Amino acid sequence: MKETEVLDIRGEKCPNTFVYTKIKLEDLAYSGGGILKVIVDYPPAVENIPRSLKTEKVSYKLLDVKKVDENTYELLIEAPSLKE
Amino acid sequence: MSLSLDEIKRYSRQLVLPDFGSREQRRLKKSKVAVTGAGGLGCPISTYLTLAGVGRIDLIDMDRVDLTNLNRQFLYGPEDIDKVKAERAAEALTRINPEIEVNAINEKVTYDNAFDLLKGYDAVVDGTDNFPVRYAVNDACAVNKVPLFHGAVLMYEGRAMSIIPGETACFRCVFPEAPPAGMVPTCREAGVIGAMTGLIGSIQALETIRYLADQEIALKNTLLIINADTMSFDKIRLTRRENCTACGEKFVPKPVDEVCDTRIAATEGRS
Repeated sequence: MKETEVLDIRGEKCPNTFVYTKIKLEDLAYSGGGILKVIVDYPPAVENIPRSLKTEKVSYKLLDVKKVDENTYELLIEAPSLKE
Repeated sequence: MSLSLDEIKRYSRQLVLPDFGSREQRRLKKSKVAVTGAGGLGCPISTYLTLAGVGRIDLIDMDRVDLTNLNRQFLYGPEDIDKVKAERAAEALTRINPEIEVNAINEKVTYDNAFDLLKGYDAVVDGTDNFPVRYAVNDACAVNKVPLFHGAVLMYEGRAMSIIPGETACFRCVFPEAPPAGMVPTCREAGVIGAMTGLIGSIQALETIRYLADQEIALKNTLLIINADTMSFDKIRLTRRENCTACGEKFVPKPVDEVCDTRIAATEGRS
């Protein structure tokens, strides 16, 4: 599955990794929905981001998690289409 | 209008809240709010609106800073004494959050000018401490159909209610007439402590922020009465009055006589 947008937040730690992901996903959702690829190099974020997204009102779908190198991961997350 | 990375970082601790995000922050950013009074209530109200990222805040106050203000009005220091309050507050708030616009309106709110002065806002938050102005603000907001977030403090009692035009009771639905002048002591006569105005002002600001962000608010048709002697928080259910002279079927101007209030007005500081 091909991503609609890429969010490269290498260098960021929690909770900023989650905040940036959340806002990007919402912006995507309000502009018709799509798939966001998130690149992180802070391993705890790989579990924290999906877990925090589950407590959101909007339901996002974690499609894939890929380990790129020792600390770098790519998450594919789907945002539904939302009305403002 | 999307959020910049700096904005996302600045507001990140509120953006992590499950019911608050991009849409809610952008709603705050495009909101225009008037705060009547830059005193004991106006300081916490305008500070929390500023911190939350409300895009434009107009502060209306005609007073100058006095040494007796400094036990509760935390936007001012001794160097501000005799300076125009609204201007000093606007400068302090702009320093806290340069991303937003804060305007000082150095004017007295009266029954004659309130209807024009309080037009075109997404919300008005009332931090005034006297009945002529409080009723002027209520009636203007009812006629202009602008949501009004009321608060008042006297000694250890504080009150707050949120007024949504066409939906909830307004201040005049609950209190159709002002008490006779001199019946209710003002702050200087009765005393007030800063933590108390901070408490009520914070509640007003929180209700305003949640309303602007399109979230549910708790003080619709509800008068919250806090008694800090016993730390009791009581909620009184309110209903609209069809024959209310402010928000009812027919508007009837009813200015509260400022002349009658001279004895209080002459001695009072802003709450």
